[in-house]
Amino acid sequence: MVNYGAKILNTASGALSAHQALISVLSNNIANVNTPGYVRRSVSLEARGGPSQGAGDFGHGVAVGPLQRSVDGYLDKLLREAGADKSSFEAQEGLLSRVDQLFNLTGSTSTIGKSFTEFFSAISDLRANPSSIELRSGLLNKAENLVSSIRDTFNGISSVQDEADSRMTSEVAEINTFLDDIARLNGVISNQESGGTIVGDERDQRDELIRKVTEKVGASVIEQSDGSAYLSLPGGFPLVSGTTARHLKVTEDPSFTTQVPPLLSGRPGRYVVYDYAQGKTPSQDVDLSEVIGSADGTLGGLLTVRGTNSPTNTSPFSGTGPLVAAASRVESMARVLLTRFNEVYNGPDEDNTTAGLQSSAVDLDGNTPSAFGFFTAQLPGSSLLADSDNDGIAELGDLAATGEFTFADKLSLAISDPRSIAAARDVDTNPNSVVLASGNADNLVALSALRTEKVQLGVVGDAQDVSVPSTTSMTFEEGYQELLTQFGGTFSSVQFGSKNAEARFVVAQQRRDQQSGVNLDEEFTQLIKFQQAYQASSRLVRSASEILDTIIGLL
Amino acid sequence: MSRVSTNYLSGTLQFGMADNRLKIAKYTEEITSGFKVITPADTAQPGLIAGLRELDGRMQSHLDRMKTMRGGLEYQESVLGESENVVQRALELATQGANGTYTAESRAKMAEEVFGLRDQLVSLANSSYQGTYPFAGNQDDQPPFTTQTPSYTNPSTGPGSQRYGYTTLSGADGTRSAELSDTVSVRVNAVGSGVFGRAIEGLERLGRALAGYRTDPSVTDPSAPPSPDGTGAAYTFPADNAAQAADIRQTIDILKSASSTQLGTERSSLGARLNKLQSARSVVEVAQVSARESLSGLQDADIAESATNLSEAKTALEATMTVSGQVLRLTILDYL
Repeated sequence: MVNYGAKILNTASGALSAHQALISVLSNNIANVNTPGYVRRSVSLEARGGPSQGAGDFGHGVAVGPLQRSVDGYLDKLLREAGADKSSFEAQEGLLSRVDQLFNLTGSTSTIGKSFTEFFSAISDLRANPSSIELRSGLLNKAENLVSSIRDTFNGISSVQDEADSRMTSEVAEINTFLDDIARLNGVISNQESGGTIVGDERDQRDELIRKVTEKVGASVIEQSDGSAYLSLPGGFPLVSGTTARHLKVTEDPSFTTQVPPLLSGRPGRYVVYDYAQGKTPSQDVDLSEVIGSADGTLGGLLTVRGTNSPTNTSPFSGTGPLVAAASRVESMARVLLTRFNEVYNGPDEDNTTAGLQSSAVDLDGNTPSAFGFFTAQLPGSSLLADSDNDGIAELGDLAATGEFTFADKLSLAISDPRSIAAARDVDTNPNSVVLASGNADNLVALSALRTEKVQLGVVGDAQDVSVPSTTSMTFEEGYQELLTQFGGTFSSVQFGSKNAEARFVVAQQRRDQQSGVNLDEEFTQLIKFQQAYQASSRLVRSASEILDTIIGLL
Repeated sequence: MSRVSTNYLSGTLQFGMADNRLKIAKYTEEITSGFKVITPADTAQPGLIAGLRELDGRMQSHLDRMKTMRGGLEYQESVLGESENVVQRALELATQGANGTYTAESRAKMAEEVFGLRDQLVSLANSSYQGTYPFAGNQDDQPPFTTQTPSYTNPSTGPGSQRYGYTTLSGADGTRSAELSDTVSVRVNAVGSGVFGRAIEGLERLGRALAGYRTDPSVTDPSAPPSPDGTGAAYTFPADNAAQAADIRQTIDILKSASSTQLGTERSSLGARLNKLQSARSVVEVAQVSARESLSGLQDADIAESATNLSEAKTALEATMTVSGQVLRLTILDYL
């Protein structure tokens, strides 16, 4: 005969225990409702088995199944990818928006375009009355504005590139810390789960770290059979394998080259490298800049904007990216001012029979200008640009001879005295002398024609390479407009991409949360349900006790 | 069943509020700045806008320059008008002086007035405008007409001895032009010898003839450049009465020629240049208005539209806040 009293007591006891466990899981879910990366837990109930006692055996009660994490690897992967995409665009948008401000279109700030317009207008104004000191001062003032706007624009672009470059260091430092933690958690997970127990908290922590890593660098993740996560970069470079983390490094001194192309500011551009030797000497750095730059993540976004440059290059303008493209145009404008403008400013050769150019331009005191007589460059050490070959002509070769690569940031005026503007050209026919006619404005006539002259505003390479593509022949105005169009197009596509990435991220987050997130209402509803079951189970204990008491009372 | 996590719900509401606040900031900036396009990121046509701004600025500089140039040209025109009056008065005196009824003494008195007119004309030719001498060619930092050395031998003193000539400095025979627009330029100064040279010489010869002195060489071709040599003997009266009258009549030809071919021509040229300026001004103004209209269409904020958008964004933000307050307060705990 089945002892129902004892059986009911056993069943009730098991039910109490099971529902306590359920409420415990709920409490953990509720406690972690705001924990980043937390995956909702659940346990299932199952009928407790036992030896059949034949007819009249109505079951053995309830048992608690294993703990389950409501995780979907595919949704997590989608979220990581969307997060990486979003981070990349956010990094790009943040940096490029600062460059965007340099090209104000309202006419209220001194942009390069406005400065060029005012500069050439001042030349035209002085043409009407070339001996006017007031108009001469006006021209110098506008020339100063032009120089400042070119320098400021170039330096503004350059500082954004520097920021992108330096931010890479801090990003990589964070990535390396995360990678170490992931490797450590891999060890804990594989050890503890070898016994069949899922270690949810460690998995949550690791998944959150993986999400942070992939937000910063577009890595792929594969879970191994022992529960550890394997992270690798595009191209197969492992970042975490088991309990081993391999660090990235940002360096100005990689092992694979002794030459590092400079950034626009002149600072060496850093490389993101992968050190096979892992800190041992000699290091074996592999350049990952292009691999990471073409991938998503914050680091990819920073590299996309900063650009990459081959170690075989020596010029910052040989690099890639929107900043280099914009800065190249600004630099080419400065170089044209230093060469073509100065060449015209010096006038035709006064004496063809003598070597070199004898300037025919003349200032208000009867003096002729030097080769770099109007625009010059303030070189390191406070020296000014010089006519290196003494031919009297301002040429790209003279720029190359300085060993410098950038001149837009060094552009300055060679004169500060309004009387020193050579507005006139020699009015006598003697090749050995120049004579001033104060009202002569022939030099200004030639200079004002430069406004509509097509000049070489191409992307310039090394200063040593003085060739400029002839396909980039355009006026200053056209060059500035093209610069705005190209930069505006690039930035707009980044903004468009950023909005799309944000939308994709929101959808991915929603889908992941549908699977893994905690909803308090749901948890509380379950809590009530489980509490009621618990209360019912406790009532069963009383019933069983009463049954047993009744039976004992019969004795 | 789709689960909406508590965090997702609050995150979505926060995102909605942030998005609406961004819109409010954008429309507020549109209204306060008057621009809907401020940087290249705001438009697909930044190059076009920059080009129109450049055009607007360039046209404005043309218009500003025109104002200064108009002043200079009108000043020159007034100088020439006054000069023509001087020459006209001299012609009247010459006509009287050529009349045989006047005595040598009467003519000598006329000579004083003629020399005064000459000095007045030299003054006009040497007039300056804003620090420069517009009738000095490109040597415009000094007066173009000065007394020449040697002076006339006869008489050796007094106004009749003074011989004026145009500067011989290099560049004084050249002129310059200034831009009225991108394609139109006009001359802004003049070579004074070609404007006043004949008239001054005519007045000089007339004064000397009335005062009783020849001027050598005598004029055979009124269109020839003036080149008196500084000599010139005194007439002997009454034997040279006819010769004096003939010389006076010659000066009438010179002065008439000066008036019509030099002063008159330059004055006509100035009139034409002022007309050109007016015409260029109209063209430049049309170009500027056109550029500004295009800019306005491309870049200016439609205040009414921006205000409507702002109002909508405010409403949306308020709605999001209301919804957030209500939704986030909803909890099953209140019903347990």
